[in-house]
Order: sequence, then structure tokens, then C-alpha cells
Amino acid sequence: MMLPPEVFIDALIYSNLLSLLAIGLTLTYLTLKVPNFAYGDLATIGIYVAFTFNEFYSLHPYLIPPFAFITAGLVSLASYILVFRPLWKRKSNIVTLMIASIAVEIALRSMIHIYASALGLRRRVSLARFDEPVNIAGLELPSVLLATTLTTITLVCSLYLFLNKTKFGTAMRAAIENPYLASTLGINVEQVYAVSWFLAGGLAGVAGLFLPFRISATPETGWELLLKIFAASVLGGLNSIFGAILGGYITGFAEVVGIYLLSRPPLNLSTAYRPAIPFALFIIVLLVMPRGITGTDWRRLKKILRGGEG
Amino acid sequence: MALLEVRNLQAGYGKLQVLFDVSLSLNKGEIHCVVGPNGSGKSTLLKAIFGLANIYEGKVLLNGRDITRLKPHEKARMGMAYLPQLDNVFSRLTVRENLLLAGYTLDHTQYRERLEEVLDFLPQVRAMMNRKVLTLSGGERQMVAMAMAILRKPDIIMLDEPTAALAPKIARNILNKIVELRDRFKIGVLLVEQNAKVALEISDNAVLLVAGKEVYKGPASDLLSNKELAKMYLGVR
Amino acid sequence: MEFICAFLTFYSIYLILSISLNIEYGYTGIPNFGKVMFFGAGAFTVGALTSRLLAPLVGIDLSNTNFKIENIKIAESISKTYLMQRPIESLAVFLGMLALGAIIGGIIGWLASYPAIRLREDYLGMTLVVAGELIRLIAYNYDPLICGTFGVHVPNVFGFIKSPEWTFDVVGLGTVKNPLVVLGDTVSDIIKAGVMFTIALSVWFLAQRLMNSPFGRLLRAVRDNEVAAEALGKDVAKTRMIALVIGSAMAGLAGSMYAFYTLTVHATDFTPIRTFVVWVMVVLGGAGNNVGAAVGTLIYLVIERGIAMVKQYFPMLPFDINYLSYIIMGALLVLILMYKSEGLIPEKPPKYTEE
Repeated sequence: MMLPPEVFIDALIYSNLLSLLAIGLTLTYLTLKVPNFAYGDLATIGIYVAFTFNEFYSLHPYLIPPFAFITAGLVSLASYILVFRPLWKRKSNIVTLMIASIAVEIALRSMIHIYASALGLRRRVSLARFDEPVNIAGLELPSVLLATTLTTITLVCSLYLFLNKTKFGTAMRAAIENPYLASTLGINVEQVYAVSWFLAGGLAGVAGLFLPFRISATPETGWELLLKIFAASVLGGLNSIFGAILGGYITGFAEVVGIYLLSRPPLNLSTAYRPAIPFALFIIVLLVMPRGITGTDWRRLKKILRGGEG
Repeated sequence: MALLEVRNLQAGYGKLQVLFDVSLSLNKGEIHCVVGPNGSGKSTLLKAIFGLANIYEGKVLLNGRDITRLKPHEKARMGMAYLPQLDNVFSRLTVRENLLLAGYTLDHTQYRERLEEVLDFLPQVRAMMNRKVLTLSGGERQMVAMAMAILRKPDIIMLDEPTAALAPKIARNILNKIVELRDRFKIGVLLVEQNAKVALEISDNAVLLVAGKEVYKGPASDLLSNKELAKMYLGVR
Repeated sequence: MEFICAFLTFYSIYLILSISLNIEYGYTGIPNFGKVMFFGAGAFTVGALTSRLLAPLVGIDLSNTNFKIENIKIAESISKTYLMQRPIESLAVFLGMLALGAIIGGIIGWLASYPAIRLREDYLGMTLVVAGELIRLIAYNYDPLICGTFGVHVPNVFGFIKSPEWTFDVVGLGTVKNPLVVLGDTVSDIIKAGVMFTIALSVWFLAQRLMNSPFGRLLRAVRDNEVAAEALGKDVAKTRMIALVIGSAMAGLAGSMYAFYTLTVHATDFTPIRTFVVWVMVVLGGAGNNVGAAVGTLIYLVIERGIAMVKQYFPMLPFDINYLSYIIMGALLVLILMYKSEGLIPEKPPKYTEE
């Protein structure tokens, strides 16, 4: 069955952004072992940075990523320094951290609401008018496709180089694996974690920036996205950047292609049920392979299956 | 002035106190061992000195300077090294990356120099450089851990049961290396060992800990020849 | 007076919610981040079923009507032509639907106990939040449930209190009209609040009895030391399930009460903010004891109702003042977690009075 190209393009754009978000969420999870419920709202910040800089400084949205990165990164860093790190140092248990994370989320989302209302943004935010088609190799493609794909590739490659080829990045991987050992080697683990939270926030900000091109966004958009980010991250396994990327693309495509197929005859499902797809994925992953794609021991699984048939 | 001085240390984990009034004094070029039955607080002593356990009272002095309240990474930068018993290498990284991190506080030239020195000192590690630590055997990992501990040329190195779970031949090798550290580099060594006889044989001084309290402190050879104490607490015949 | 009655009603509803979370988290250690789901279950039950069940009694043929569009009129018709004259039937409907709401809440709690027992807290937290949002999504889009985007209206079971048509025979005086009509709305409010509060109080006493019983000790044992409890032969999984079912049934009860009070059920009313608010109440007051739950609920309501009142004086503000209250609550919650995590009324060690 052939998919119309718009569906594929839509899926790719969406998956690009979802991957970035899954990477960021996984990164914060790896440091403090807590699912950051406020993470979606960092993307919302990206949305409103895009709007603000475009509206008030007449900057073309494609020039805004650095600002979105820095703003969202700083907010994420602030949440780490003001809330998560103090609680972590007090040896709070994971439930306490989760409650705090939800508190931060609601406070953050409320602040965004206030900002949006103060600007008179009663209606939704959209930057779709900047999505002019671009001609590549005879194909008419939306510029957003190129922008998001390029951005995603750039950020992922930079992150890879940072984590594997720099001393600080290697220290970050080490601090995530074993913070005590890292500290005995002179690595300031709190500082390293702080940087990782900044980076994770930055990723969300940049991803959020591209959202208003395809959907009309509200202060609630980031929160609505959160369940999908969770699904993508859990599918990836919540234990590696690579897993997050994989989870992002699989979930993204499953969602866009899935709702396209389901909304046609014979099921004619309303597109409003689109969020049900990542949720279903989330449940399936938890039931079948709770450690996600990269966390499951595939060799052992194969052995067990083979042994059963032998 | 002693290299490392521990004064009247009361320490533990959270609300659980493990050490009751422990003191010791370590100089350069000395091997000081801490022995005692299981659960007597030997590991806790090292952790407390380094800042990985809670110190309720007492002081830790490095070259006369009070470092009791400093954080572990700050102590690491002051010439102290610590080799934990478990999880003492980063398994998901390669040996090369582990050593790179061991030299985290060094600049590039220093790191290259020290790396060469360490690889001369522990030649087996040279062959393992590009392997992922996950694939190494217990003995090989311990070699890497030791390499990491001495890479920064610390003034003092604390080792927590370095020969545990190792074959006797490899264990002997490690112990020889420890003696070499003292003799060649004049590093001060604080050694916690379950196998008391072997540890006492290579040590200058010893502390015997029982249930978190000092029962004996003095020359290692004296403790070794003290039949009563040795039999009661150390399982030495 | 109206303010006091509203305050008392909301206090009753929220108190039941706090107690339910307290049983689940305070006593048993289950972090229920999906409280709104169970609250909604009770409300949705009332919304979806009350009008539909009573419609035939006023002669409305549901197979012929578009329930979604007509539901306001249907509810009104039921209220005016049927419920107003029949106090006994009204109460029966009220209590019956309350019980049903609690039962449905409990069933959903039972379903939720499968993941609750097997998942680690971080995965459980994510799952419950996500599930709650999904149910809200379905309720918003699937019309047959609670009329989707319109929301469903609930017949007024308390209408009979000020109905002029309710009469009864008194010996010696003949047929007497409803005396309460004269006193008007105020009495109606008072009676409503009184009923709600009585229910809440009963739940509170029930919870107290339960938590001071061997079952309560079992819950705490499971929370504090799972391994030891198992070693003593206690079925940890089953205990958790029972706690969750009880808590969910209570939440469902609260939801039903809420529906009968506000008279409409709309999906957008059941967002995770409700869950958050219950957590604020429990953490603020002190988890692990019902007095703490009562205190926390009181403090929260004072803040919330206070801000709602203040709202009237600042109509010119460019934003919804509710958001400001959420920021304050969020900050308050974080501060409590940092500096006084046991809450205002810390849990007292259990009394071993019988031994």
C-alpha cells in the first residue's frame, strides 16, 4: 500500500522533533533517575520564544534556534538548581522527586499561560506562514522538513561528538554510569549534571520552536506532547541516547502513519484519537519489553525462544 | 607533620553509626593496613575519609590541612586517590576512556606523561587500551582500576580490598605493585584487606578494627606476632 | 452563607479525595498520580447514567432523541417534572448513584492495580498520568459517554427541597405545602452542604477505624518493609490491590458527589491539575494520618476559595488568576518537600493499645 507523500513528510518532521525531545528526556532521566514531568513545558517555552522573537524582533524563525536553545536550557537548569538538585542532595526518594517534578510542571505551565495571556495571545500560536515550499531535485518540499531534518542531524551529531570525543562529554557519560566513582576521580558530578540538564532543556527548546509550523500551538501543547515523549523514551529504553532516537522515530511514524490508516475506511476513526497510539505503544512496551529496545537482552531472548522450540 | 591524619572519627551512613572514635596517622612512603572481621567498618573508614560516608564528629587532616568537610571531588584534586572494592571502573566505557577520566584533573601534557609512566608500571594494561571494560576479567579490571588510581600520581592512595575475588597469583601481583608504589614513588598507602596475614606482611603499620572501634594500633609486625589477637580477630593460625 | 455552604461542600468532596490518597500513598506507599481518573470515573458514571436511566420515567424515548444535543432539556425535564415532587425517589437516586460511582471507581482501581503492583514507581507515575489523560481524551471525543465536547447535565436531586409542589398530609392540619419553600435557597444550600459533609465525616470515621485496625498496620508494614512483610506470609500484592480499590472507590464517591453538586460533567474539568491539588493537600497536611489530610484540605481550600474571592476585585488583570494560585501551590509544595517533608501533622507511630 502506498502512502501519500504528505503523510510521510508529516511523519518525518514530527519524528525529528520527537527524537530530540526523547533524547532530552532520557538525558535528564539518566542523571537523577526521575521522569521529568516538566519536560514538555520546556518545549512550550521554545514555542513562545519563537513567537516572541518573531513578533517583536522580526526575526525569521529559522534564525531563532539558538535563542530557543538558550532560554529553554536556562529554565531547565534553573529547575535543576532550585528544585531537583537540593532534593537529590537530601537523598529524597523517587516519589518525592516525581511530586516535585509535577509541581514544577504545573508552575511552569501556569507561568506560560500568564505570559501568553499578557501578550493577548488568546488564540493559538502559528508560524505556518513561514513554511514556504522549497524546490529540491524537482520535488516541492516544505522548508520545515529540511529545517527540522538538518537541525536534528546537526544536534545529534554534535551531541555524539561531545559525549564521545571530548573529555567533559566522556565525564558526563561516566557521571551518569557511576557518580561516586566519577567524584573520586576529581569530576564535579553536580556541575556535570547541571550541564546535562541545560543541554536537555536546550533540545526541548529547539524542538518546540518548530512545532508552531505544523500545528497551532497553545500553552498546553508541551504538556500534551509529554505522553508521546514518555512513550518514545520508554520504547527506546530510557538508558541511551541511541535508544531515544530510535524510540522517537518509531513512535513518531507509528503515530502519524497509524492515525492516517485508522482514519480511513473501514475504521474511520476520528483523528482526535491520535494520542491513543503512543499510549498503546507505551502499554505494549511495558508489558512485553519493559526495558525498551536497547535495554532488552535480545541474545537471551533469542536463546529462550530457540530453546523453547528445540 | 603526617601526610594523613584521622582524629577521633565518628562516622556512618545516615543515622547508622559504624565507626566509634577511630584515629590514625599515615606518613609518606608508608603502608598502613586496616584489618578486622567482616562488618567492623574498614570500608567505611576509607569512605568516610574520602567523603562518601557521613562524618558525625572528628577530623581528617591532609598535610595538616582540615579536609573533613570537603567534597570527594575536591579531595581527589588534592592528591588523594581512592580505589573502591566494587564498581571501581566504568564498564560501559573503554579502558582508554577510563584512564582519560582518571586523568581528568590533569592537562594534556601531564596526562600523556603520566599515562606512559602508568603503562610502564602496569604493562598488562597497555594491551587492553581499546577494549570495553565490560569484556575484561576480574583481574584485568582490577589492573585497570589500579592504573586509574595512580594515574594522577597521588600522594596518598586508599585501597579497599584490592585482592578480593582474585586468584592468588594475580593477588600477589597486585600486592607487589602496592609495595612498589611505596618503595619507588614514596606514595602513602592505606590498605583495607580481608586477608590480614598477607596485608600485615607488606605493611609498616596496622590498625585492627572490631565493631567500629580500635582494638590495636601499631607496627604491623607486632600485630602479626601477637598470637592472641591474631587468632581471635584475624583467623590467623 | 452561600459562600460557607459552597466551602463546606467542596471541603467534604476534597476531604474524601485526600483520605483516599492518604490510604493509597500515606499508608500503603502507592504513588497514585492518576487520582483524577478515579474521581472522574464517579463523575462520569453519574453524568452518563442518571439522565439516561430516569428519562423513560418522564416519557422520553432515548432511541428517538439525540442525547448529546438534548441532554440539557432532558435533565431539566427530569428535575422539574419528576424529581421535584418526589423527595424519597430523589434521595434514592442520589444515594444509588453515589454507590454506583464508588463501585465503578473501585473497579477501575482494581484494573489499575495490575500495573500498580508490577511497575516501579517511576514507570507507574508515568503510566497513571498518561492513562488519566487518555481517559480524558476519550471522554472528550466519544460522544456516547458524556456528550463529548458539550458535556452532560445532571438532574438536580436536591430540587425537592424548595419545590412548591411537594405536599404531605399532616394529622389535624390536612394537606400542607412544603414549608421549606418559604426559606428559599439558603436552606437548600445548607441541606446540600450538610448532606455532603455528613458523607465526608462518615468516610473519615470509617477511614480512621480502618487505619487503626490490624489492616491499617498491615498497610504500613507493606509500605515500610516489603521484604519483611512477605517473609511473614503477608500477600503484599493483594494488600496493595485492596488499598488501591478502597482508595479508588472513595475517589469515585467523591466524583459522584461533585457531579450532583455542580450539575454538569465536562471532560475538561478533569485534568491532572486535580491530581496535583490532592497531592498538595496530602503532602501539606502530612501523609500517613487522616488528621493531616483534614488539615491539608482545609488549608488548600482556604487558599483556593480565597483566591477565587480575590478574583472579583481584580477584573482588569490580563490573565486568569487561577494560574497564579497554581504557581504559588507549586512553590509551596516544593518548599514543603524540601524543608518539612512529613507535612504539618507528621505521622505518629501506631499505638499498640491492645497488647
